[in-house]
Amino acid sequence: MSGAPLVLAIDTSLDSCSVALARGDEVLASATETMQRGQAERLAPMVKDVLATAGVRFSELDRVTVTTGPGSFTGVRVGLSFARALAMALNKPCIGVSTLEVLALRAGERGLRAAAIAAPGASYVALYEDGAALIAPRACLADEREALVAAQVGARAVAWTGPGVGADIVALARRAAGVDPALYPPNPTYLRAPHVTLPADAA
Amino acid sequence: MTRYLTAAMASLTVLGIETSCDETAAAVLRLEDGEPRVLSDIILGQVAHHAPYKGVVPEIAARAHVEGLDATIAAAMREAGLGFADLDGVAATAGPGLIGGVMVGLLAGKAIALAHDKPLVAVNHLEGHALSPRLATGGATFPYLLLLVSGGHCQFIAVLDVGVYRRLGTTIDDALGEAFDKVAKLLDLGFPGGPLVEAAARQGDSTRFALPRPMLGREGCDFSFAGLKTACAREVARLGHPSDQDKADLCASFQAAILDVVADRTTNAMRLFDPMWGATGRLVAAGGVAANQAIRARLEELAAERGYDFNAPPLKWCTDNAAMIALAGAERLRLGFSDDLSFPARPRWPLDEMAARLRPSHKPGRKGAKA
Repeated sequence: MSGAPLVLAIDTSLDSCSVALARGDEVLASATETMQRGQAERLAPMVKDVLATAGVRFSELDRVTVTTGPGSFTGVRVGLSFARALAMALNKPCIGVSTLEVLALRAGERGLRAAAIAAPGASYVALYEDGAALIAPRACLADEREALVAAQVGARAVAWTGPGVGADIVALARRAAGVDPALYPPNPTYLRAPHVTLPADAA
Repeated sequence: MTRYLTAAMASLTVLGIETSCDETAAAVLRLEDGEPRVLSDIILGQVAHHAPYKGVVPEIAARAHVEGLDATIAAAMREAGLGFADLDGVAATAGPGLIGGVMVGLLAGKAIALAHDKPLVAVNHLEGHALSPRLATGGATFPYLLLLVSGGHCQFIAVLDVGVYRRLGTTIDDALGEAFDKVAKLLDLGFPGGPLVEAAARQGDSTRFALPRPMLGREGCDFSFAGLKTACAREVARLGHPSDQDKADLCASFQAAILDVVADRTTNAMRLFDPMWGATGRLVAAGGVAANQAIRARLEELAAERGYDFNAPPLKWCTDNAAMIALAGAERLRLGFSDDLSFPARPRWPLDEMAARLRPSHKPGRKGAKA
């Protein structure tokens, strides 16, 4: 697989800090630490260690990829701001993949695959068929998830991932190796507006 | 903080990144034989994002920083005519400030430092302001008495050397810029409020409203603005629907009270500074409120009366900017200091941690002193 791109993958969108370096299906090095906060401190040292373990220099990377959420607003920004700046500094493409897409396609792309994330006060869903989105990542009520998917595909069998499952960093690296960077910009998928209301007299 | 070998580096080129409030900023600065030269200085403001809310909304600020930071850094590098490999270090604000935004800039700084194996300097935003008077040619020489006044901070600091700061006084409630913004909000003048209050004050009668002068005549050089703000709110309530002239008169009266308080506190700060660090005769104002012409004029007058030189950075370096962060980073690198890639974003980070511990301006609580 020496022709496959060398991909550095980063995920800090849910309850962990994960880094992997992969070429095709071969994972050269990876690290995952479970945490709800603290990604801003751990991410850079972990990336440094993963590259050192693999004996790879930053200049050798072909692509940087990062999950874009939904997830913790802060976690999403930690990963994105780091990955975007790293890619810019190396002059390499930065590929943003929705956390839901990474979850749904963790075991492969074929067939109908759905993913769900449950956060306090919010629930998110997405559905894919052979790797293409039938339901793009969106917010929903926890109890309407199944109905939304059924409305698209009827009684056909769907492989679900989540809620309550962490993103598989190797699946992210694999996905990012094959997509067109122009279609996967590293922009946040917040799916929720900031919690703020306009002043009463501003209407 | 670790020692980094920069011995005999007569010239240091540093990228600075600032995202602690509502300006997304990047700058490249070269420190040559101790003389700073700003090679580029880019600021992407967020006024349009926050204006509907009449104040800075932290989550909106953090989102805007993510959107705009790459392009801002790229523009700063382009304008400086340099590649990342040409840098000697990367300096990013690591606090104090709005934590969501601080993280964005700090993580970007870490990534660039890591990608090109350059030292990272995690800069205290207040140190940037404290050193900002040195950005201009022939800027302030150490030691000097600094009045740092912005939307988030209001302190007197004895700036003795790079990294050596003594806080002499601070606000016990609101920052001065915050007081200006709150008065602007009361009068529905718009956002950001400081310059609008200043402009309105020029058309008004400063003697019409009798407003309190909090802390006037008190020992020490602490500030308090909560009572003055409340008094303004009371006048607005009494006026019901204030006319433009009412608004101008209230702004003028408010600013007159501020000028009296600032002059009184500054006099006391000079009295504290002189016997401890010698009568160096240097008074410096920095921070966004130092852009207020009336305050500058009063400080200048006061300095002249006491035989002090008065110095304030050019307006563009009073408000938040990345040139001052790059300067603080370069000065630290020159002394051989850099920071670990695990450095945390610190929402609270007093410049003079000793003073903050001994004489906290806010109840310390479990998170410690704010600034």
